[in-house]
Amino acid sequence: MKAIMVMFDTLNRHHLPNYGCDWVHAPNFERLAARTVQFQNSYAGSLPCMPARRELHTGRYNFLHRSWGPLEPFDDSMPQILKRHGVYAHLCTDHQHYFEEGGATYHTKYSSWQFSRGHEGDPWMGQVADPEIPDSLGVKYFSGISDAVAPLWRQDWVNREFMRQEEDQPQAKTFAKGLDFIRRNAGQDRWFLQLETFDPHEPFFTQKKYKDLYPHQYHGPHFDWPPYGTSERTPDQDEHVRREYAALVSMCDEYLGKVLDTMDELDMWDDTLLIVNTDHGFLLGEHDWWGKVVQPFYQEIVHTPLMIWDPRSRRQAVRCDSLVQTMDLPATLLEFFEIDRPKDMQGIPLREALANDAPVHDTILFGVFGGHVNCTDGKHVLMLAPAKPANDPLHQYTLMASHMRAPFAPDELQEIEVAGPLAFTKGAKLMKLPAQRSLFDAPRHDYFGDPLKTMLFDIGSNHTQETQIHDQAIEARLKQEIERLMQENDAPPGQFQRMGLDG
Amino acid sequence: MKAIMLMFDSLNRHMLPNYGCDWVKAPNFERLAARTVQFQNSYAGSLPCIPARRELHTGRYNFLHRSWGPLEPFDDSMPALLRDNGIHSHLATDHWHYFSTGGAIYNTKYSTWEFCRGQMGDPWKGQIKDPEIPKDAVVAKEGRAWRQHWVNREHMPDEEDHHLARTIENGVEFMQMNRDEDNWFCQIECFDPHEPFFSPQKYKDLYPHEYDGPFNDCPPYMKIKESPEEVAHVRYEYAALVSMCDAYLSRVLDKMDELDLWHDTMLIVNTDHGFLLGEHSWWAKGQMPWYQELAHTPLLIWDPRSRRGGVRCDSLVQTIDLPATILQLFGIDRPPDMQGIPLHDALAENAPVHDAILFGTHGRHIHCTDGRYHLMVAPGAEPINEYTLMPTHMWKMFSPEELALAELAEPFAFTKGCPVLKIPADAGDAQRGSFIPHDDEEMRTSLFDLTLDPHEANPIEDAEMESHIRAHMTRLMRENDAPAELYLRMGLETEATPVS
Repeated sequence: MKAIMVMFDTLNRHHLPNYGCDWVHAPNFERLAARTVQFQNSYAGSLPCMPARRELHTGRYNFLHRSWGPLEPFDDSMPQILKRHGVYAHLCTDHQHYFEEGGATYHTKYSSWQFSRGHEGDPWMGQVADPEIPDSLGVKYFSGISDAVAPLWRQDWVNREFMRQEEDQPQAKTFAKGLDFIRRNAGQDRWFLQLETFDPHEPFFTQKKYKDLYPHQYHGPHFDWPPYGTSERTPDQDEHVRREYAALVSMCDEYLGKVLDTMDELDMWDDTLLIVNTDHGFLLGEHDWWGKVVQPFYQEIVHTPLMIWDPRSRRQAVRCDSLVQTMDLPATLLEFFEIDRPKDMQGIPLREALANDAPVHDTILFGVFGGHVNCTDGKHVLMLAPAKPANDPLHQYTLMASHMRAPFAPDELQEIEVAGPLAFTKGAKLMKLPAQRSLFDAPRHDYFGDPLKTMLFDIGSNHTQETQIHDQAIEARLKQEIERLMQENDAPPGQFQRMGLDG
Repeated sequence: MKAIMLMFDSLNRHMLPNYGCDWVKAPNFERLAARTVQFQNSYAGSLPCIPARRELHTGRYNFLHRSWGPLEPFDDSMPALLRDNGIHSHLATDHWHYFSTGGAIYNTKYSTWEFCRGQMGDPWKGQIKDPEIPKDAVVAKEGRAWRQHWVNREHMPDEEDHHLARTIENGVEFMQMNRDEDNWFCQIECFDPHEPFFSPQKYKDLYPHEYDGPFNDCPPYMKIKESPEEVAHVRYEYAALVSMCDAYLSRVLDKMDELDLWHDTMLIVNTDHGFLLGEHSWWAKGQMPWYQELAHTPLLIWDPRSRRGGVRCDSLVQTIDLPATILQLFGIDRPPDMQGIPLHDALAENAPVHDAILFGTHGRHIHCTDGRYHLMVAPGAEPINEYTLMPTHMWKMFSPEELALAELAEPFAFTKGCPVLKIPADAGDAQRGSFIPHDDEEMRTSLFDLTLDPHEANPIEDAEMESHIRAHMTRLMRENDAPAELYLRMGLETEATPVS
């Protein structure tokens, strides 16, 4: 048996034709849907990028204990468990966050790994002279986090000078390496390939041939990297950047097609599991919002595309309504290779759902550290706000004191306490420290500086979440589910206190 | 101003012609010596690889508090200070330990970085079918890394595919691209001539010899058991790789000539430590005390301000001085916790730098030299601790069993007010786990007179001198804010007021 996971970053479910989009050109996703079980109720868990990837290793939520950070010493790691059981695990990626402070050590868990350079300001090409930057709209000029983004903005333009051809783009390089891996090892048994591209994450940098799929009139400044927040732009600027996103989705589709071609050519479907997934989506003006994390986690962000071919049950071109989540994927992979799941892994193997649409979860959580705790049963979504406007208390539980692009600052480390062990730390004690708050990492308030508000939506009848509903019985039931799931996750007492739950 | 640091790993001083070796072919090191100030008393500090690199960032010893590990949140970082002060810092390297668990974070401190894949057991190419490994090869390494090394070799058929060639080319490309710009630092860092001694045939051909023994270009970290022929062969294999390093050194020197960089560009050529190839009856490093062949390092620097070349400098200097030197070159204030000393005056006029220095590995001997005498103090039985906020070892995270024993310790003088985790150091660390007990005669506290006995064959008995060097050791440990238990462990309790 073999397994391939083709993972995208920021792939919007609602922009894929097989999920009902009527204007994005992505024929290979339709071809994929005809080959796989398409999950209709797949959700993100811990958000955004790196917390989602920590779930891919551990198979459990981490957003109740920790913000964006490295793997922890006590974490189970799916690829490492595969490796230890004689299943070769290879990572092909262009995801530059793995090589920053806050993404450290993930890649070390694979048998081997390859990193393709150049995405989103990846500190790749060393050019001291400033690059030529066209008159632009974009993240540097609009975002509230522009200071942090400025070096990325500059470096991104340096990198682009070295990516004039499609084959020089990180996505193309990543898939070339992945296809090379598949060809080299097609005759071997027991391997797992994680073929993971950062696309279609912003900036929406792609080539003319994909842009030409979306002809439109636009004469404004260069614009393919929208800032997170509300729009201060004209409607045609916003429409333009949506098409830039679509062009990049079409590029992703092209490379997905190469994987399907190769699996056909090498006749791999009989013994190869194929998972195609993403970490989360991205708002492109829906709800009058752009980006992610700085606004509530609407369906466009958390309700994800997921398609799986299981060579055991061989079901294809069917849809599965079971409620599933990112943390189920490592459980599925371990089960597929007949390896026992560690006791701290809370995801559920999808074998039965793939075989006969068996139910998986009744309810699930999703969220970012310090934000709403969100819960859905697939029909309703409760975004539970903190009990008090101060959104306290909030503590990081960690042994690896790194944020996304910097270590914890010394002033953040003055009040360390030793805590634990917790139920899932395998006897290890760990540090407990007051969380420093920021909009993207551990928000205290919402984007406008106001307290977070509890919201309830009926996504069955109103999937686009235009109107909230008020139904005390449903709210109470989902709140109870939040409490139960937080208990199962061994959330710290402070989180129950923050959310006004008994624990 | 600009600066280039060309750093090798495991480059033996005593095998370079400019330091007196008469058989290794390395003409470009001689050319370099004619261009630079050649340091005659340069030493390693914290050992081995990654502890040495932590010193390159922080400019202070770390081996009294911590074994091999990542940069800590409270660490100063020279390339980050450059970057944050408008000096572009670029790292071109094939040093795969930066991308294993215990080397995390270092790369993030540079403005830009490039990692050239394929060194040793770097988990690079994913190939499940077993590679062809010579049947009689000495399996010196942990199985997975050794297997991967042979997979990697299959993907480097030609010299230009070799990681050393690619690393140097990336650095030279940086020099070319930025020749007209000011304010940059380029660290070109090669894992070679670290074992395995993998080099193209043309370099092996420089050392013709008869050999029909087993395949061996990667000696084990053990006492010599091999035949004299095999030992000689391994030495030739090492020499061939040094000659390859020499050829690529010329790429950098040629490019400096071509671009006329000498007038405003500092050039530092250095290494982290050496490697025993039969001296003291040992292969490798780490299992034995840090003899001169290991700790006494080559160091050559061109300073465009003083412009001295073809001269030798006897000042006692160390790895921790290099970040201080680079910051000073660019006019950036050194942070208070950086204890290295800028080499500006030593480069200009052979000014003295240190009167004594420490070196060693966490939990092992502590070494002290004043340049003339070398005292290695064997550890006692008192337990020691790891002080860290990033609990990873070389290949893996600290285990839950180790972390079950974590306590909080008061801040040290250099932790910027942060308390740190205090974790008992035990066999969780592979380096100490394989440590040969110190009742072995060789592992005892010993004093050597380096002037009379440069190869450290015969320890001397000189109580007065030993006491003199111990006083240096105690002072230097205090200056580093060494943990209290370490004075007890090293038998320095009567001399020190423990620092809490």
